[in-house]
Amino acid sequence: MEIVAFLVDDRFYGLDAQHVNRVIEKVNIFSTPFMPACHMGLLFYRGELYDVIDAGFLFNQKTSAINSHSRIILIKWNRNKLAIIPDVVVGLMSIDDQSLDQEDSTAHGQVIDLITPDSLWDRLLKLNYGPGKIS
Amino acid sequence: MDLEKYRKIFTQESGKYLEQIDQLLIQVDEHPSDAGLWNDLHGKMHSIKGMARALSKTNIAQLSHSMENWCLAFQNKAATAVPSAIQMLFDGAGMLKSLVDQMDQIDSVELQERYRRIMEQLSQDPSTPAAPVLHEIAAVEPDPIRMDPIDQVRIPYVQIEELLGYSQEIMMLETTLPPIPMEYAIVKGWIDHYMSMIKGLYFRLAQLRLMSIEDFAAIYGSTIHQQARSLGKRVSLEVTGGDIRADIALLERLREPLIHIIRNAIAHGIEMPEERLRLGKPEKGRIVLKAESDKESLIIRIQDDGSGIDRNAIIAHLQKKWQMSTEEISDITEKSFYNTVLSNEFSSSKTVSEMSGRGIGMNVVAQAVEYLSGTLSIASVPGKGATFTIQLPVSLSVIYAVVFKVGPFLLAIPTSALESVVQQTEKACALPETCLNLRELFGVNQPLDEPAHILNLRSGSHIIKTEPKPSVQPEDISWSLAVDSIIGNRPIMILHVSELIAKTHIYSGIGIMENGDISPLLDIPALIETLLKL
Repeated sequence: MEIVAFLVDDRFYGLDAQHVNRVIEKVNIFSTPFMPACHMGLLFYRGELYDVIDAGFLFNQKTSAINSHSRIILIKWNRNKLAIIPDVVVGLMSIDDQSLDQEDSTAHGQVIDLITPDSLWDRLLKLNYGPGKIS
Repeated sequence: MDLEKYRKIFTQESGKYLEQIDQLLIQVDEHPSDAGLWNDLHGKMHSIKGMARALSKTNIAQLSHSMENWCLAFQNKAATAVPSAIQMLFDGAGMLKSLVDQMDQIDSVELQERYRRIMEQLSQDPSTPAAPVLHEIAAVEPDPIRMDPIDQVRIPYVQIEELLGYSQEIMMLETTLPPIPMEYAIVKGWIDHYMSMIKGLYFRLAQLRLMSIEDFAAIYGSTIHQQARSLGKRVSLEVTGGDIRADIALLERLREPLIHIIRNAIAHGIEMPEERLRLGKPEKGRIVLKAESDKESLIIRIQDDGSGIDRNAIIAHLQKKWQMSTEEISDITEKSFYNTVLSNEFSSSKTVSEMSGRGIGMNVVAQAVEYLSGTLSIASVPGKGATFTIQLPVSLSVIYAVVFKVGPFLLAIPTSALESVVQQTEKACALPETCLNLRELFGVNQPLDEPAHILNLRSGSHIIKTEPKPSVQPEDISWSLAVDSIIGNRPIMILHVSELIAKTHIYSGIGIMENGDISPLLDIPALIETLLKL
């Protein structure tokens, strides 16, 4: 299978490429009150709204190294849409299909944490939303 | 123009004609002797045949030719359109749709057999399938074919999305514009004008995403007719508020829940024709799809004039599943009582069959509406019918809203919710108790650049739906919002809030401004309710 690999706090993560709609350069992101700290805001791309997530904050409570060269991974699956900003988008990689059942895999000698959009979504849904509940 | 373009036009135009044929067949089913309707049908069939012949689509051409002959016979009173003959034409129209979708290819045994059977029946005298021949088909010259002018084109939704994408990418180029020296101010002016035109183009393209409720309801017409017929019932669909437009993405998500409600109404609500006559009702059942928009919400009601929801089945369910006594059941509100059918337990309960299946899958409908942050409520009067009301937070259309800033946040409220806007004279002015300080609420620490603006809300725009604190009577209070600065009164396209944003419970939609900026639309009652809970 092909994955889109990215780096967060010196650790590799991989997302099944079939869920990745596009990788784009940084665009305007509009922050929204009452959202968890990892929620950077919203972006509007090609007629669709995406919740923008700071992968560093979501995974490690540590803000990603975001700059004007940062790239954003747009994920679409089922009816959900997320935009993930990691430290670095590494690119497409092929891994053994047998790795699907494992939590991590190796590609080009790197250990990669395989994550699914659903696992990201579940993690986001568990956060606190609303006044004074920033997590 | 190459052949591929002709093929695309053929597919688009045939699709349009087939939709019209469906509608006309529904009408001739009601008025089988109306020669005008048959003339229209005959014209549409003829148009499809002509296009198919031009592209050598022989299967489509032959089928539409046979159907056209039948329509002509009914139009000229050479034969009588009995119900089975009209059903034959429905089957033929269905077959035509399949053939158009597959560009005339018959690629399966099933399709081949279906085609052969339909052609065989259409080769017979139109009066013979299930009724005696009343007339000989006379050889008459057909009336001149009336062709509607082509004033509309059908384009796939994905193409609109593609155009939106392109125009957005052009807008994004603005961010990569290199610094322009002062001496080229005229070039800068030209670029600014160009960009504002692109933004206007984008905004107008975005409005192509909107679909009228009337067009949306049209997709149910044929399904209702077919299902009612298969059950031996007669049902009409009426649409009110059909000119209201909503985002196609929202309507797409509503499509299945609505068809579920409508199917249930036909199968279990509308009585058989003889039963309706016995009850003093018109023989034909009636389903009304009513759309309303009040700028902040889209309300869709599906109302039928059938038997209503079986109260006894709900009572039996409440007693059996929840061990509720008769007294307890009589204490619950009508709304809660009928909402029982929306629960998962009810849908999977064996009592479903006892109440004629009225609850089957209704929990799925409720979940779909909940996903859209909407509400679904049910009302029913025994013997009179049931009403399902779906209320969605915003109409997902373009509304005017006052856009403002609070610290780093760009936000909006519908202009219709505002009474007035005033600016404070000094930065340090104290705010009245009934003024919601959004800076404080949203935890904004950065200093104010100028005195705050106060948005005075119109009375009635902030009525709290749930129980307020005992000491506060929100309905009697004139609420206002303190914000940093006003961007202006702007048209914004409202999109639905995502599931994550919805968890804050303070937004009714996400506004997209003409320049592409995003301004979440505050849900005023929910915001006040949130504040009262703090």
